[in-house]
Amino acid sequence: MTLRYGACCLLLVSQLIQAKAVQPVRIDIRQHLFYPSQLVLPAGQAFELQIHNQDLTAEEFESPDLNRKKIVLGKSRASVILGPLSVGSYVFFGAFYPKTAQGLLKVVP
Amino acid sequence: MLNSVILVLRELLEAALLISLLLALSHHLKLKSLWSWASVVTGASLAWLAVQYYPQLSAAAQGYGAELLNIALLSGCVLMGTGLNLQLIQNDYRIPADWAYSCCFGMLCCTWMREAIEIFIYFSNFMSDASYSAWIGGGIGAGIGCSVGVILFDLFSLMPAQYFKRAFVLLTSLALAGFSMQVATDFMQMGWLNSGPAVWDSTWLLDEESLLGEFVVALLGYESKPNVLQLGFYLLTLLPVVLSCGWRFRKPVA
Repeated sequence: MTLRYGACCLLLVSQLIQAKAVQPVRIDIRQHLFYPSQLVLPAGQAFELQIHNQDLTAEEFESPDLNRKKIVLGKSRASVILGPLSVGSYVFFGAFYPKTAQGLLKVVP
Repeated sequence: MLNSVILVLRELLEAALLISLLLALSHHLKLKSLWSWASVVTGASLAWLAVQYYPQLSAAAQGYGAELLNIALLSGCVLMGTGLNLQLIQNDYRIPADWAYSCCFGMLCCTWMREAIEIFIYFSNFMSDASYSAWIGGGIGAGIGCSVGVILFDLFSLMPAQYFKRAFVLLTSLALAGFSMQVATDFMQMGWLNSGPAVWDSTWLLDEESLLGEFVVALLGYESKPNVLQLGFYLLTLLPVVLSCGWRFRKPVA
């Protein structure tokens, strides 16, 4: 009984912990703009969004839709893991320069 | 300028509720106010230090060092806050002063450090800005945020002690459950936990990015699109306090 319970717990934990390798997707920040400003990704997969900030100033990648928030210092890069995502559109922006740094992630079937 | 107002106000509102609750608890327990100044100075100094080493910090742990620091600060706050609440419940809202000083100092320090790091990094972008508009905006945001904190502190201080202590346990437990949810989000951002689909979407009702939303996030740990793991972290944080209240309620009066 204890063994079965332990096996169930292990299975649950293994489901919760992400072990799969994730595909990298690159996005650049130049002059407070995202390049590309629109990304199209397939549904049901996890991705590593690599944000390369080529400006001298720091930026904060933020997306309430994706539930992600990350500071990227000037002339550096940072990553966030996304998904697996369902079909839809997800807005993201730069919290430090929100007027210009805006982007959209489209997830398609 | 407007962006500076919003950014600083957003960060301060997040911290204002917890800080005003801790200061009001200190007032009701008749603690000396020195701890609050010491924790603000310590939190700000540690935040400044973290910003100086932010390139190394964010590159650590395969690029997720900043998330680990955030998790450590949030978890520290949750542990100290839950410990403080359990002590308050079990001892009929009377706790030793050294315990209260340590928990209040630690929680305020962690909360202030978290918020200050983002503010410091944001303003480092404007060090050579000749127009000072970002700094003026930041000042306005800080003024509004501090005013909200002072109003909350006054409201909590004016409450009768027996009601305030119960309100303190309730409000801090909800705020700490929200912190716990943020820990789950950070683990998902690092890819250590799976991001499952949202259980519900209440953005139509209250957008957590709005100023009211930010305040409700701080007040109740509100999340408009939580997934199962975030809800699990939220409920697990509330569980010890709920069990302790239940046990205390059932305990016969001597």
